[in-house]
Amino acid sequence: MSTQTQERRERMATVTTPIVSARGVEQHFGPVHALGPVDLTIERGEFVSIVGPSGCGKSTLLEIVGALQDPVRGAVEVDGAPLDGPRRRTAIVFQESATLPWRTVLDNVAFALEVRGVGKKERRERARELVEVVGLGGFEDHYPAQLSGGMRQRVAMARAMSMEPDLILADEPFGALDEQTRMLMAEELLRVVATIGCGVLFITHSIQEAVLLSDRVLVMGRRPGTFVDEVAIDLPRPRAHAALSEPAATASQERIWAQIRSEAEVAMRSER
Amino acid sequence: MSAGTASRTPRRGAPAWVPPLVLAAVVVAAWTVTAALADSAVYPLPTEALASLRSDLGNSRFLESVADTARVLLLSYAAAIAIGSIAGMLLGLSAFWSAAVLPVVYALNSVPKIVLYPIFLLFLGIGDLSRGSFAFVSGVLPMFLIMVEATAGVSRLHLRLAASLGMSRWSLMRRIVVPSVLPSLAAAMRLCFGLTLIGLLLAEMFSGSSGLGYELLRNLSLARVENILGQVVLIGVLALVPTLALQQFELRIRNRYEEVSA
Amino acid sequence: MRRRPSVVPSYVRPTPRRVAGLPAAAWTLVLVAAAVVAVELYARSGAVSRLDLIPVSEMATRSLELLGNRDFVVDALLRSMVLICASFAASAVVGVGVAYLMARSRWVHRAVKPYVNVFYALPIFALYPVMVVMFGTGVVPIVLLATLFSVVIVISNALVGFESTPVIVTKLARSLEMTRSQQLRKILLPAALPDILAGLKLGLAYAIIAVLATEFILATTGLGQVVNRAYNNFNTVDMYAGILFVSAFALLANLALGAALRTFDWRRR
Repeated sequence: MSTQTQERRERMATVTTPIVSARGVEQHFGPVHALGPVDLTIERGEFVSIVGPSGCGKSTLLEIVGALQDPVRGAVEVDGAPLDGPRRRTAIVFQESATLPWRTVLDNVAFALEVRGVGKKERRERARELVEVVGLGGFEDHYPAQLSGGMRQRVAMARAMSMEPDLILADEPFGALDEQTRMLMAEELLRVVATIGCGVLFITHSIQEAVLLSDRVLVMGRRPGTFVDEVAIDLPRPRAHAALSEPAATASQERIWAQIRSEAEVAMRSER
Repeated sequence: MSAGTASRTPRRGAPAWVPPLVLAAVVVAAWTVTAALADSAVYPLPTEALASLRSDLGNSRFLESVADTARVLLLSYAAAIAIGSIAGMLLGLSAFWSAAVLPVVYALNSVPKIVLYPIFLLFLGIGDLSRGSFAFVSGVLPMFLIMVEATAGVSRLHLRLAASLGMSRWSLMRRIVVPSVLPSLAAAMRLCFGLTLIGLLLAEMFSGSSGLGYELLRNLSLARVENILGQVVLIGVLALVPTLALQQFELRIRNRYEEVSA
Repeated sequence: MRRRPSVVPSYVRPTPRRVAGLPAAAWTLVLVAAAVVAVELYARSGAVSRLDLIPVSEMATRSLELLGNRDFVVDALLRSMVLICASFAASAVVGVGVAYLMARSRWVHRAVKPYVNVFYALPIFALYPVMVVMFGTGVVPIVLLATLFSVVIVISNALVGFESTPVIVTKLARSLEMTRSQQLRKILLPAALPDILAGLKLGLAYAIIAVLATEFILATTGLGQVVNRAYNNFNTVDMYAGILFVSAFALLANLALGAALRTFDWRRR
């Protein structure tokens, strides 16, 4: 871990304001009431997941926190300051890895640094380090079309890491991957987050994933989404998939599933 | 036809360029035979046409005309490509203004533009400026339309990535829009070359004092058919060579920049 | 509604439904109206000679007068329309026929395809003097040139249509032991129809352009010729009226075609 990262982690440990503080956030798309009102707080270094039925507004909330959407109502503060645009230290990981097909893996990872104006030599060095960290060593000169879905998401993760984020917003980043890759990527993410020590807002359909990864799981109800439950996950870190079979973990999963099932059933019935 | 080899190659019989060549040979043969049979002053043999072309190419005034057309063509084509693509990319990013402006440009494009040429003549006189700007307009409109559509088709995911990194519009253009639309740009460059050339030739035919189009019409009034046919062949070559080069360019760009669906 | 300044970069903001209170279509009208008004004022201002530009209102009135003029309607308008229909019909029949042959025979396909691909790179109008010398200054060069110009786009599109018939459908035809002509009528043509129609629409657009352009250069008959003659006689009023008329004609024809096509396209659900 670089000394910069170490210093930042120590600094973060002494600051106590939450990394994300959102109050009364609401979103409408024309006549459709899509989200909220919701309140959301994420402490520094905290891993928070949101699970909920399809279309309930989870992604909308993530985009609002990432300054990709303007909410109709509500205030969002990140790192103590009101949002006035996409932040340098907020990294967004999309569901379909947004890798640029005309650039090599190395140039993709270096992309965020390039946009920031970092010099060519420096950003390529940094990118090389990160490529090793995510386990893509040897693939630097490959093009995204030559990689599997999981590898492409690792490129996206390496790029996110290059921004030295204090907040990662991940919108179902493993949604397009098969089960085994998902499990590997989840463990990968745990490692990365432990290294950087950033806060994470993670959206997923998989209750298992949410319980494995998070400190807290927020359950969102059907559209317009509001939080119907909050489940603290007290499992010790560092975590592995084995932890999911512990009684505490199973209980959490069942509780979350019960909530989601009833929300989903109501949603299905009202759609008919 | 060769018998199938032991390995299962899909290639059977002649290579790809043989059938078109055979077709061309058949057409030329038919031309020769019918011309010989007709034995008419207005229906020359291919050989006669080529002979008069050779003599034309030896004529310095004719060569000046060719150079003249080439010069104006290059300038108006370069301008059409540059302005059409930049304007197209700038408009394409805005869905609202694209929807407002495009119908007008599509309408303008569907009109036979040569009919508008007299307006150019009235305002710009007879000379390089009027035919050059007309050729420019013939090429810039299609280029603009293609680039607006291509820019509007830039992946929304890439736009959100750019936004999440706080990229400025200029940075977005340079690093994401231009690479994304490069295949369409290459195709449009090929297409607009032909359109600019047609525009220039028509303008020269209508009223010019030099240039290939003018030469064609001059030979028409003098009823020198072999010269006309020879010059048509020349025009064909002048059009074909850059087009094939641009096709190769387009192929290279597509290989490098076109997104391969996983 | 309370307006807050947007924090989202402009290029990912949702498309506004209105700008300054007007939807996009209204802005289109504003643009056109502004252009018309600008030309009108410029023409009336005296800064430009009447030999170069006349007001739009006069162009429009003269156009309407032309519509009432029997000579114009019969000699110019109807003549052009007949030539357009003739070339279009010819290019439609030949185009679809050639495309069918190309779809049926690999050899024909390989022989013709490269020419279809480069065809529109070549200035076909350069052949116009050749045609005039061989066939005189009547309607033959016009129809020939226009047919030649539009047949290739019909071939391109019809070919795509014929070749995009799903393999499962041709297997079905074979399993039902259909004859060739039955296959053509009941399977190939319906499957290829949307693309054929797209090709026909383009073919008609091209035929219109080719007929009007050739008439313009040839200057002995038709709508295109009206503009040419007026220009050469320094009759600016008739020239602009003719240009306006031709433009409106081309526009309306394309719009009508587009609308007619949409009703036949089974892929538009």
